[in-house]
Amino acid sequence: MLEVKGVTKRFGGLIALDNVSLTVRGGTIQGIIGPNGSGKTTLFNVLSGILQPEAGSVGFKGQDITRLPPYQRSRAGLARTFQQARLFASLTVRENILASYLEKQSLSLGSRMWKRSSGQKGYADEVIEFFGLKPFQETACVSLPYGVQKLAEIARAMASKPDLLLLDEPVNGMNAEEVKGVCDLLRRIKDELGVTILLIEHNMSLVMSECQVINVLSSGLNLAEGSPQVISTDEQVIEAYLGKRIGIHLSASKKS
Amino acid sequence: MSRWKPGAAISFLLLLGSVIVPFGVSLYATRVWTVAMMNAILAMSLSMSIVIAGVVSMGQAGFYAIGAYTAAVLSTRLGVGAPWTLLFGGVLAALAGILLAAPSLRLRGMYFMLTTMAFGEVVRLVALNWTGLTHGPMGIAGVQGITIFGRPLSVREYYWTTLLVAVICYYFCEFISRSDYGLACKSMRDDDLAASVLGMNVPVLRISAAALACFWAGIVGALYAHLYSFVSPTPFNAWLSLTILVISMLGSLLGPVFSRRASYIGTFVSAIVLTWLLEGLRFLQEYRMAFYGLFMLLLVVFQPQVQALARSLGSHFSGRERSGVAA
Repeated sequence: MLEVKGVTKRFGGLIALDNVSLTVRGGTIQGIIGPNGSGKTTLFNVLSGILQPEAGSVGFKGQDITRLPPYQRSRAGLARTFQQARLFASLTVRENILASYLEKQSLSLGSRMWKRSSGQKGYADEVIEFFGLKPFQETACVSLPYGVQKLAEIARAMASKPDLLLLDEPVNGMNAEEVKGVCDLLRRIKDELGVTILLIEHNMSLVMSECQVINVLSSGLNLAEGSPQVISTDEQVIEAYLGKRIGIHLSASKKS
Repeated sequence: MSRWKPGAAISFLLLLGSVIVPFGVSLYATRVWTVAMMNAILAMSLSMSIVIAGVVSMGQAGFYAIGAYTAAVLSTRLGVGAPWTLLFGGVLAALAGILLAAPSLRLRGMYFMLTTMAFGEVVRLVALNWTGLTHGPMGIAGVQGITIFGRPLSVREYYWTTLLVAVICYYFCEFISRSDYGLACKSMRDDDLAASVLGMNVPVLRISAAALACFWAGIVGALYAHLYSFVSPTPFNAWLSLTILVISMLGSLLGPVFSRRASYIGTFVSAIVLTWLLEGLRFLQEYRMAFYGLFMLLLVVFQPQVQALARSLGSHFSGRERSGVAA
C-alpha cells in the first residue's frame, strides 16, 4: 500500500527524518510511536505532501507520489487528520464532511458552481451515521467539544473515500471511554470499509491492542519495526523511552 | 413556499422600493441612486470573494476602470454596442484579475490587500499615461449610450438597467455562495492546509473567486462608461476601492438583519446608505471626508454593538434564535 524509502528531511541543521524506510501493507492498522520530537508528524507531513523530503521516495499503490502536491495525493486515495484537529471552523460538521466528499467527485469548476448538494441526502449522511455524529451535524465546528472535533476530523477524512488513512494522534486528549470508542471505530474502518490505517499515537493501550505492526521513531531514525510483542521487549525502544538502564534494581520496572 | 418568511418580505419590499424610487425623486437623485446600484454591484461581488474565499481586494476600482475603458474603446473605435461591451468589459476585468491573483497567491491578509491596492493604482496610472489608447488625462469622450429599439435610454431607464444588473448580481452571488463550489471555497478560506490535503486545488479556488469579483466590476465599469459617455482616470482611484470595501464591510454587519445566512442584501442596503451619506455630506465641502471618516471611526468603535443589534433584529424578524452554539 505505502512504501517509504530512505526519506530524509532536514530543517536547517536539524535532521528531522534520517533515512526512514517503512512499509504499510494493505488491510492493516500500523502504528508509529516515539518520543516527542522524534519526527512522527514530520513523516506524516512528508507523506501527505505538505513537506518535500531532501532524499528518498514515497510510493503509494505502486505509484511514486514523492513530488505530487497534497491535493493530488488526496485524489489518489490518501487522507489524513492533524494532531490538533483542523476542521473548517465556521462550517457545520455536515458541511465539512460534504466538502470532503464532493472533492472526491472531481467535477469541473463550472459544473460545481451550478450544483448545490448541501440540502441533498446522500453519502455524507452515511458517514455521519457511521461515526455517530448525527447530534452534531448542524453544529458549527468551532463550538464542538474537543473529542467530537477529533472524531469529526476522522469522519471528514473518511468522506474522501481513501484507501489509506493517516491519523495523527486520534485519541489525544480523550478519556478512557472515548478511547475505547475510537478503537472500535478504527477496527470497523479497517474491517467493514477495508481502509488501511497508519496512525501516530502516544496512547499505548490503543497502539498495543489495535496495531498489527508498530514502527518506533527516535530522533528521526526508524529504530525498530515489528509486532506489539516484539516492540515492547526491544532493548533499543525501552532505552529511547526510558533511558539507559543504569542499575539492576531498575530492570524490574522496565515494562511500566 | 408555505412558511411565511419575514426576511423574504423585507427583500421584496426593498426590491419594490428600489424599482419605484425614480418616480418620486428628481433626475439628480435618480443619478445618485444609479451610482448606489453600481456601488452595490461592486461591493456585493467583492463581498462574495471575501465571504467565500477570504480574498479581500482593495483594487476593485482598477477592475472597474478596466471595464469602463474596455467599453469606451470598443464603443468609440469599433462601434460595438451595449450588451457586448458589458460582456467584454467583464471578461477582460476577470482576465486581469487572474493575472493579478496568480502571482500573489502566497500573499495573505494585509499583504494581499496592499498588492491589490497597488494594482488598482497601476491601472489608473496606465490609463493616465497610455495616451494612444486612453487619451490620458483628457479621457475618452463620446461613448455611445445604451439604446433600446433604436432609442437611447433615459436617466430613469439607466437606473432600472443598473438595478436589473444589481439584482442579477445579487442572485449570482447567493447562488455561487451556496453551490458546491462555494462550499469548497469556504473550506479553503477556513483552513487552506486542511483543504489541500483533502484534495482541494487551493490556487485554482482562490484565483477563480477573485476572477468572479473582477468580472462583475468590469460589467459595472462598462455600465459607467455608457451612462456618463465619458471615461477618464480620475474617478478610479484608491479612495473608490476603499469606499467599496467599506460598503462590503458594513454590509456584512447588516447582513444578519435580513437572513441567518451570509446575505448580500446587507451589502445592497449599505451601498445605498453609504452612497447617500457621501452625497449628503457634499454641503460640508472640504470637511466632507473628515465627517465620513468620523462615521467610519464610530462604526469601527461600535462594531460589536452594531453586530449584536443586527443579530437580534434578525432573529426578531425571523422569529427564532440563531442556532449553532450547542454543546
